[in-house]
Amino acid sequence: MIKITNLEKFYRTEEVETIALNKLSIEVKTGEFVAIMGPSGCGKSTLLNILGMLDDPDEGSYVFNGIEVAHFTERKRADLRKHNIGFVFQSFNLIDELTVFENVELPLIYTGVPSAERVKRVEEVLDKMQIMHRRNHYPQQLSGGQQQRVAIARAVVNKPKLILADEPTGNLDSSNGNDVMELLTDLNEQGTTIIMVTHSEHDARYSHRIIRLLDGQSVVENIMV
Amino acid sequence: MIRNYIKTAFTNMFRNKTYTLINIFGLSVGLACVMLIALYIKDEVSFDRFNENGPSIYRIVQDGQRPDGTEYKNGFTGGVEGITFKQQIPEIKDFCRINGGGSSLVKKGGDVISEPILYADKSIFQIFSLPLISGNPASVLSNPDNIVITEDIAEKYFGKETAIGKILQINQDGKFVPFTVTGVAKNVPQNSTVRFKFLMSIERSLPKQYTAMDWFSSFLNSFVYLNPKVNPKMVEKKMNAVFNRYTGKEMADFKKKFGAKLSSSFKLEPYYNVHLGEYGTGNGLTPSNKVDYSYILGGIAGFILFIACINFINLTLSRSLRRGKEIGIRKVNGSSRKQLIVQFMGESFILTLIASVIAVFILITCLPEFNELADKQLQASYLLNWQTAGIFTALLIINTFLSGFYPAIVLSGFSPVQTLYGKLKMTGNNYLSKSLVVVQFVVAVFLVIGTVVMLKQFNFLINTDLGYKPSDIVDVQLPRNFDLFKNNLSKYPFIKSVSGQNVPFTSVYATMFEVGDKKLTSTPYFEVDNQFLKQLNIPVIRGRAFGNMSGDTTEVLVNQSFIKAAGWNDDPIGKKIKQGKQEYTVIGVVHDFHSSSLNSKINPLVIEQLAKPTYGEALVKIDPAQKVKAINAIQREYKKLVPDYPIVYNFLTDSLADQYDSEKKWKQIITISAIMSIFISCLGLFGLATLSIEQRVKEIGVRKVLGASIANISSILMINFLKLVFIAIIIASPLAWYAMNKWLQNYPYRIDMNYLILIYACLGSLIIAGLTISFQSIKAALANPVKCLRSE
Repeated sequence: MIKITNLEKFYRTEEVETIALNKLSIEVKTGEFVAIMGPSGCGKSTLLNILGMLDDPDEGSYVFNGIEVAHFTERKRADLRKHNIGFVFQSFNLIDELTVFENVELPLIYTGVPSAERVKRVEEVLDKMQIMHRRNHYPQQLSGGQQQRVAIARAVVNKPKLILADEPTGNLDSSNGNDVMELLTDLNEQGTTIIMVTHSEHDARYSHRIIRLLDGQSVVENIMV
Repeated sequence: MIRNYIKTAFTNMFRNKTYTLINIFGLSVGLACVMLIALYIKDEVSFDRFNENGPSIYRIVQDGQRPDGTEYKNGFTGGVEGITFKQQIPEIKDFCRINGGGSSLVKKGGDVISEPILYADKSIFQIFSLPLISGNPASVLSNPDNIVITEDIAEKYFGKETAIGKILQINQDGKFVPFTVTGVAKNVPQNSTVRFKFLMSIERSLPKQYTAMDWFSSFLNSFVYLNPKVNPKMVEKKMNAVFNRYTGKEMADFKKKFGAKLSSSFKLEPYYNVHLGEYGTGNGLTPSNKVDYSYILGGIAGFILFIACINFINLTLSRSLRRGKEIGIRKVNGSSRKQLIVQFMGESFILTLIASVIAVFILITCLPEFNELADKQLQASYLLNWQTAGIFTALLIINTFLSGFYPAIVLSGFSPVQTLYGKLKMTGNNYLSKSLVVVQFVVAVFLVIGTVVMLKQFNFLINTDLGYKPSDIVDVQLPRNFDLFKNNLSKYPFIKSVSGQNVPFTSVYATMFEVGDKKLTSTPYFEVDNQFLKQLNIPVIRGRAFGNMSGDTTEVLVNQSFIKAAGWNDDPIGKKIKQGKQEYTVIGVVHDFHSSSLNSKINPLVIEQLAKPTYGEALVKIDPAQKVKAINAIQREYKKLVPDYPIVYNFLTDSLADQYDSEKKWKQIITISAIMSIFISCLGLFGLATLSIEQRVKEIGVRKVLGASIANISSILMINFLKLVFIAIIIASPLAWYAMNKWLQNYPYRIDMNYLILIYACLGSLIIAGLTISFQSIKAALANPVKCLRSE
């Protein structure tokens, strides 16, 4: 599904040029559950952003589902993204001004799903995440675990082929963290490809394969049994 | 999707009340200003447009040269031009002369009411779109005893009864004369140059000494109605040919007598141009206006709205750090940039819409005050007019774009990576925000300086020593019985003296005096009695004042300017001057004094004494401690002697102040706009300071932990903003200096632009801006550092 080759990304300020990704090559197959690990500043999040087409690489190739997307315009990337990729963040990133229902509904609105269909699909996914009873609450009224469930509901409501998770349990206690990991595992078992950045060896053990990054390069790949 | 946008917009607005209030308040005030001025300008440019024949109607006007070579434009004509041109020039289909008669007294039961009278040819109803409700337009004014009134007047005098055929008693030259109502017209729109309530035949207004072929008097307005597709230039040529045929010999004589430069030629002024035209109006027409006023008012209103829009742009941009997260999330979830632009423009539209609704309420509330200020009779009902509604809708859309477009572009361009990971820094946009704040304060400081200069000049005009003492003098208009009135009043202890003059003190008659072979044209003259100089405290600096009443009426006094104009270097006493065939002897010289407003230079002046005490004005000096008693006595004595005319009197000081009406109005307009612009600018500054401090909470905390004092911190926060105001002052000061100097050149007597004015205005602006920010800065400096650090 994903093939990146010799990917490079620099961050420039006036005096310093920092290399975030250094000729990185990775392949992820459909249906895989991959964890990306590494110390702070090793380029994990940069990689995830490029994979999610939120950012573009400076050099190298990124083939998504057989299409070269490395130098797509923002509009093309946005279009590809909204139909194929769901995001889960450490800090949940829910819109405070919208209710649980409206937050989850957002991706459907942007992909132009008709209203009746939207209601059906949002209710379905809220039900699955067991937060139906909270549908009219605002994010601030929920616990961290509940907020992350809403975020996952939002990530999957559009039935994406790929879910990108950036430390999804980073802001949660261990019990809620485990719940979230179970949810991701379920989704993976139903066929969704998952790429997850994490600091936690415990969480990484849910994945099929761990890619360890150091200074923008892949150093080790562990295959989980 | 729309519902989602609207909801986010409203939740955002409620969550950020300060920000929303500042924006809505500023925008609604700005929009209200622009709406008011839009109504004003619309009224100005739509003047007279309701006339169906408008494009074919012209006023006969004259361009000419005085004997001294100066040019003049004259909008008035005499009684003969209209008739003669119509007879001799086939392209002229019809003509109509219109004259105003001031007010006349009309009897209503036991009451007498003073009402305005207009005189016109009966063709008025064929030429102008002034429909009659009843009466035959062709014949309503065929008899000099006929009168046409409007429906309002018909109701006022006759109630529900039909007015046609009824008699109105109207005072003409001191006697009540019966007039038969032959027509009732629809009320004339207020934006009509030809406007009446009582309309009589023009015959009644032609002067008694009027001769059928007097081509050299101008005292009324003559309109011509041309045949369709006639070129007015060609008619002008024909008019001048006719004029030359009738007056060629007379003109030649005049030129010989007064100077070869004397000339006069007829022009046609399109009726639609009359209201804002250069010939002015008068003699019964609705007062004209200057186009400049529309420009200045439009400019000021535009600036105020602009300042409010800058607030919107700046506050939206500053808040974008907070909204960055929402933008990022929306993008991650599939929103395109276009959708985000639509969303933000939508928010700006909603805000502007709310502000517009409030603006309409402000507009309705302020309309009466505005009408007084602008000399208009605009009504709130004009808002229902589709054109006005169209203008306001356009304004709403323009304002949405003006204030919403730039922030929408910037905000929608945020990269989700930066916003979601908190890497977003607003450094790039800070320059823009700062420049916009500077622009706001340039406008505000400019207006503040303008206000200070205008206030000082106005005070100067009001308080300058006029060269005489106008205080405690009541100017009573007296149609007859001056002697009796004076005698009767003299028995009261609180009446100090009474003197007589032929016209109200502040209005001037002027004529030509000849000094040897020098011709002093348009020289003002006073006709007064022998008490006049003493009562007003005007010193005679050479020669003597007038003797007693029966003194020699060929004796005159002149002022110092007259001596200069006459070129007399030796003793002026005993010199002869001529007015027409009458020769006068100069017996004394008075100090130059400001008989008219300080808006004009002191002219040469001749003071004559009237042979018979037939003065039209009695100047009564009263004891200021017993003002009420004195006024009562004046009214009582007047009623005894002149029972048929209501008394008209003024304190001389008030009539003098009235001459500065226009200055007073502009002073008010500029003061209000300066206050508004500085207020809205400061509101914006307050909002910006609040947001900037919010973003620097962590920095403030760290500084405090490291030992910074409250004064330290608040000054760091304030200096950033005061720097901008300071830059604005540096830009605005020379601009304002230049502009106000230019404005002052209009006044022959003016204050000096001095540096203190600039310093006061600038210090004032700095202090107001400083106070605005100090509240937030000190609050931030006082906050507990632990709290701000923990919230990170």
